[in-house]
Amino acid sequence: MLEVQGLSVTYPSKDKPSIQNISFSLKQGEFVWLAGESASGKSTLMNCICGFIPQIIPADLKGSIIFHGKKNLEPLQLSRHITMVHQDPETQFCTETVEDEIAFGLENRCLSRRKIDKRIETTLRDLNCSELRYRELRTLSGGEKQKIAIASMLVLNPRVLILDEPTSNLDPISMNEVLNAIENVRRKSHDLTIILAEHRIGNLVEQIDRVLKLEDGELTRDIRDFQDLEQKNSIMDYSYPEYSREGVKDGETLLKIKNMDHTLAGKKILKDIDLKVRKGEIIALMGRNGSGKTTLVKLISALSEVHEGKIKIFDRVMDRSNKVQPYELGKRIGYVFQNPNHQIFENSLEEEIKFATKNFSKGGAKAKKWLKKITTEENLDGKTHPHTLSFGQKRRLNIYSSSPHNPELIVIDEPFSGQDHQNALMIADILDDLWKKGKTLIVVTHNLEFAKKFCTRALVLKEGEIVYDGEPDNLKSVSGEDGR
Amino acid sequence: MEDRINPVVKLIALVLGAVMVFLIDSVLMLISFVLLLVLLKIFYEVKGRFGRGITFLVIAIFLAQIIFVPEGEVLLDLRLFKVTLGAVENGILISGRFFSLITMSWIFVGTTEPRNLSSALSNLGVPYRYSFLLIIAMRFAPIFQFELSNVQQAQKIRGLKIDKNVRGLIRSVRYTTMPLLYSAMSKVNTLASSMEGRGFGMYDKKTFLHPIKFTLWDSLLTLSVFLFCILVYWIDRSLGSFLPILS
Repeated sequence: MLEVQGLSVTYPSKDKPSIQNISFSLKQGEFVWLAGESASGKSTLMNCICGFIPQIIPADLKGSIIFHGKKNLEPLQLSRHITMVHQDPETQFCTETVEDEIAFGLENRCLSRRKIDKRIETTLRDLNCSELRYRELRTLSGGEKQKIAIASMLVLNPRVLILDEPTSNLDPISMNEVLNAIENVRRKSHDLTIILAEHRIGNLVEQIDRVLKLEDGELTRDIRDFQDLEQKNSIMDYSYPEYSREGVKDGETLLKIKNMDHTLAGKKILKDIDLKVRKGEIIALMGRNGSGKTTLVKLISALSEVHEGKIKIFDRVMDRSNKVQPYELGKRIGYVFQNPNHQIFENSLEEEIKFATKNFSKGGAKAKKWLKKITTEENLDGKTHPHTLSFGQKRRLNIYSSSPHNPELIVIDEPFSGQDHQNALMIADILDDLWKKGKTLIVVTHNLEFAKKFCTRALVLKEGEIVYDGEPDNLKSVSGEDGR
Repeated sequence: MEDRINPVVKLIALVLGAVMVFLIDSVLMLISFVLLLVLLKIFYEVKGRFGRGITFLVIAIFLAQIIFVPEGEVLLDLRLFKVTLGAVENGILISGRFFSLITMSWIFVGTTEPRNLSSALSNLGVPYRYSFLLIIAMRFAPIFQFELSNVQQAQKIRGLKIDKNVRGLIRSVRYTTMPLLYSAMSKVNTLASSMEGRGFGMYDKKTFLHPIKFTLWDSLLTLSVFLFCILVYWIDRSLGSFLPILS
């Protein structure tokens, strides 16, 4: 049905091909797990199959993609048969409501209103989310958004459904919701070919017919006949090493929060927060998307104003009447935001790492040290433009550039979002290094295994309340209740 | 609050209203028009208050006229400058026009679903590729607003202080534009792929799940808007350009 022959793709800004000489063919109804680390070429391959490369994303393409005997079709021709769900639903949505988003493709195909209405109803029912039909997209949770993204593609009755890391930005509960939705689709339509690129696929591994693994742009494994489930699971390794944590409990109090509530646009985001953080702790701040994690760390860092309750951090008090400016706390807090692009300001690695040291007039020597480290480890030049780096490299740069001015507390908001395991391990090593240099760390994360292996304490938020505060080892899920 | 008026009628009213506020010369008429707009804003429960920025601009425009464009009878001598009748009149007219334009646009955006405007425009023959741009713009406006806030927070926590002068403005633009631009660029390909991958542009026409048609009622309403504008213009000419109370 779908044949890829000798496919190589080189992007204009790159010297070497992102994928090289890839060949395989797919049968109708196959469920394929496209495995591989970040930047191994998965997205490039999927964009080629849909015809987006080179039509929408310019690149030099060699080889061919044959769909039902027709070679290298245009995206519009392929859109009748092949659809792709992207990593971030927010970016792929082009309307404001669930109904409009699902209707979009059918309207483009000039279907009648009656047919559109019926297809929307059936698709939402198949994905067990009929109740979302009349909601606005911005009001949905992360998992619901991704389900609607899948529905907006499935409604077109494609023969091939491609899913590009649909769960990478989700908390584990939302992730399961999406994986279950995919499983539902699989059970209901056995003639639908599914290509799923994902780092972790949970129980869905049982449904997989075939694994294609990409490494450095080459197809290194193509497995169809599995001996057992263990063989499928062994394709990707997600384990963390043991990290030594000694002498944390006796540190002095760095941060104290008392009776803090926080309301945003009439909605209570945080409720009755009481918290003490000691110097040298590594806190995993966990909880579902929207549980108030980012709000809490922004309040701690003076990026939001405290309205009710009190925060004492270092020697500064923040409450309704005492306001502190972020740049005043910034000398002592390094903060890494979720989106790497939002915090890169300079035109070279060197300038980017020096950014905070210049503003605070401290830490020049450390900046030089970090620069040497990143350029050596990543094989880069100090003059390299930061925006030419890969997603994983940008994330590491964010952490390096948040800390050369020697802050005591480092807050990292979801460092592993969209990162493969290899990148996650590299980030963990940098954080470990910072901790060994005496920093206190607060890491907002969904990664339970990281919390258990790396952190000294876990805090779980649920609907704005701390529902778990204790040893990470006792946690069974990020919802926190079972760890009590 | 959304209403049942065809978005195209509202768009025509917005354009005519914008032209009209520049034709109005009577202070009394402009004040009446501003009051009417404020009542409409309250009636339609359009969200949001006039923020500090807009209030500051309205006052600044008014004061600039008072200080820098003195003409006519002197009402008050403040040594540094004289407050004249012409300056007060001009101040009210220019700041009132600015305020009216902002309020009209605000009411239009607050009462119009982008998808309805797109559908209504397509129904009148505007190619859907263009009318759909409105939906995309409305869809991404809050996302970029959120991203702008994040970028500014990231600057502050890493110690960037922006002075409130021209140099500060240049620095702010420099350090804000690049992260936002790269973030936007990373979204463009995904959005284009997502739309084309669902057949956007496959045919010259497309269907709408919720079509908005231009009805006889809409024609009558458009005619009423025209007549209202003519009436306002006629009254304005009758009242003359002076400020009746002060003169």
